[in-house]
Amino acid sequence: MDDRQIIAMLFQRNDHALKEIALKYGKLIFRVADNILCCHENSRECVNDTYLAVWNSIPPQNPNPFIAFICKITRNLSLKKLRDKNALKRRSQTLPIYELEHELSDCSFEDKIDARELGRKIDSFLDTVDEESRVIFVKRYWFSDEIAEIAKATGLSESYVYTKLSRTRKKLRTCLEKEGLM
Amino acid sequence: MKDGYFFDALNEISDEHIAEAVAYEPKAKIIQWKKLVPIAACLIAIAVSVFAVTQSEKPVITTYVTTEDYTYSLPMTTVSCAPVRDWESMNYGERFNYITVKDVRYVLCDETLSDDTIGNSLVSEKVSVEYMKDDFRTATAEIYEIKDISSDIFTAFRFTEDEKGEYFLYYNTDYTPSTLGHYIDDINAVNNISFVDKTITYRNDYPNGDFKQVTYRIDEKVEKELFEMLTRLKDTACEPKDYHETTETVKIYTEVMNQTHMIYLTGGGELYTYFGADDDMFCFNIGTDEFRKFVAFLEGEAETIRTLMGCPASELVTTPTTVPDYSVLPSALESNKTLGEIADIPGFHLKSTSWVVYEQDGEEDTVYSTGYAFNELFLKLIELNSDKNAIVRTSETGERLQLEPMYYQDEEDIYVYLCNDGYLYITYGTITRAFEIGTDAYNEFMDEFYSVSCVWTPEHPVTIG
Repeated sequence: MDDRQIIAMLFQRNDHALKEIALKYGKLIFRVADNILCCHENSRECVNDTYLAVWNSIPPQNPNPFIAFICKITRNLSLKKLRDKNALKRRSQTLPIYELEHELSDCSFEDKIDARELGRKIDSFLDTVDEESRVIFVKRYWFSDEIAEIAKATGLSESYVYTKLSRTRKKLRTCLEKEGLM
Repeated sequence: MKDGYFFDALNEISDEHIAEAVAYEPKAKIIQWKKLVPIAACLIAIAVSVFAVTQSEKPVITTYVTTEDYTYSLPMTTVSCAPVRDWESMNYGERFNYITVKDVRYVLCDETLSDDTIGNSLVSEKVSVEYMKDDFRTATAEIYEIKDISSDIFTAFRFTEDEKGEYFLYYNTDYTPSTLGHYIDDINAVNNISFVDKTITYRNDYPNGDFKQVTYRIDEKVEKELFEMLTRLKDTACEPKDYHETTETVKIYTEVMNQTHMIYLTGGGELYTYFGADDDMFCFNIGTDEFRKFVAFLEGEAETIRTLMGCPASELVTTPTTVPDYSVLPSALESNKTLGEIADIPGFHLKSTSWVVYEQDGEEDTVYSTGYAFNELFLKLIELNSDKNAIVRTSETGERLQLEPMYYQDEEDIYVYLCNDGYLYITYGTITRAFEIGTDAYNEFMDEFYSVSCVWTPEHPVTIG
């Protein structure tokens, strides 16, 4: 079913829409949660919370693209779960995002800009790189996907993905240096 | 850094970029027609010469031949064709991506070097490349050492004609170290190897298709152990051998000069190194003891980031070689034996290694693929409860884990299930017996179960029955 149709059903308060979301995006949502939480039980809870949040927020919201909206909800709920357990810092060291932190570790960004500002700069930076590098970067650091999964999804070799990531991180570093943030 | 600072930062990634990543499909290879022009020209040339040759011959005699005796050749010259990029659009490195200097073949690495990394000048040579057929382009290449790395393996090239004066990194494709010590000296391993994602992966594939994959963090301790091992084995000779993956491997992704550099250790006692710049791998036979020692170190000392255990679901459909004899089961259940005695009944196969597991929570079933790890967990449960007597009891609650060893494929009347009332049930036809394991043990089992099993997916279907 088309995303627009699902949203229309949500506007009509038709709970069948949630079944359609589960059918279409259930696995992806679970993966987003599980990549962060690494616990199937918590991840499933998070997936259910996502459905509830979608139900409660549409309407009034009418998101486009819908998939990004759902994934963001799941990611935020998963991070909240980790924060509630005071496990965010410990967990972040076992996730791919650690590579990014490590690359940019010699700068105390939070003294200079808030996280959202840095995020916007990273987002603008992603507009300047090629599609392949951008997709690999987002899959790795936003979705926390394994290198092997990314390689499979993009039809590239693991070593190529690895090299691409490494170069994109370095380009990001150079970009932030130019902005005077490092 | 503040907790979650980077997580929060990445939250600002735009919806479009996220949607793009989800929707991304591997690109089909696009045929660039412009690049095919030289190839087409060659094909036309070949066709014309074939035509000319066949037409110039006297009467054409048609013979029917098999591929084996179709051996005549056409009087043609060899034509080499390659996709060609516009010369002006390429930088000097791209123009001269493969260069042979004094019989040594160098390949361009996608990297330019800063002036402060450049060492002594080695030689200056006229180099040429065949840009198009019979169209040779030349330049003067100045070749330099790079600081802190042997020029036997990497060198910097600068082209006199290049106005930008860039230093390009080149890899010597003819490089082969004599020993491991020679290799680590040449790449200046201690200073140049960087562990970018700071992880090391150990994987063990069991004969039944199950696997265990553990990711460890590379911290100072692990780095030290690795370098100590490399140094200790410095006299190990480099052998010309293709990579041979064994059931146990340790893989370390690293970088040297920003180039992908991998170190693989195999259960066969071999250490391979590999540069992304070239396809060749260097093999050092370090011996199985060294491999075991390193794995033992990882298991004992390194911090585990995550453990994946399971098996490819395709392995679950393996047909058992012997058909179990179920006829003994009804009488065994009715005689109220202990769980241990039931598990030991020959032919019952409660100790099967491949299971299909359904989780039933009253609504829908979730199917899991399991394997070696699950079996270990289940056997532990049986062992701990082997003295529990069978009782007559019917499960009262909806949540349960239904287990089906693959051997039961043809025997639909047999069910084994764990229920959240704290009992393990075995049912054969109309006979059901329960063994009390306790709700705590059930919950503990379920916690571990989730960590060793993966949800069945259509990509990895499990065929049942």
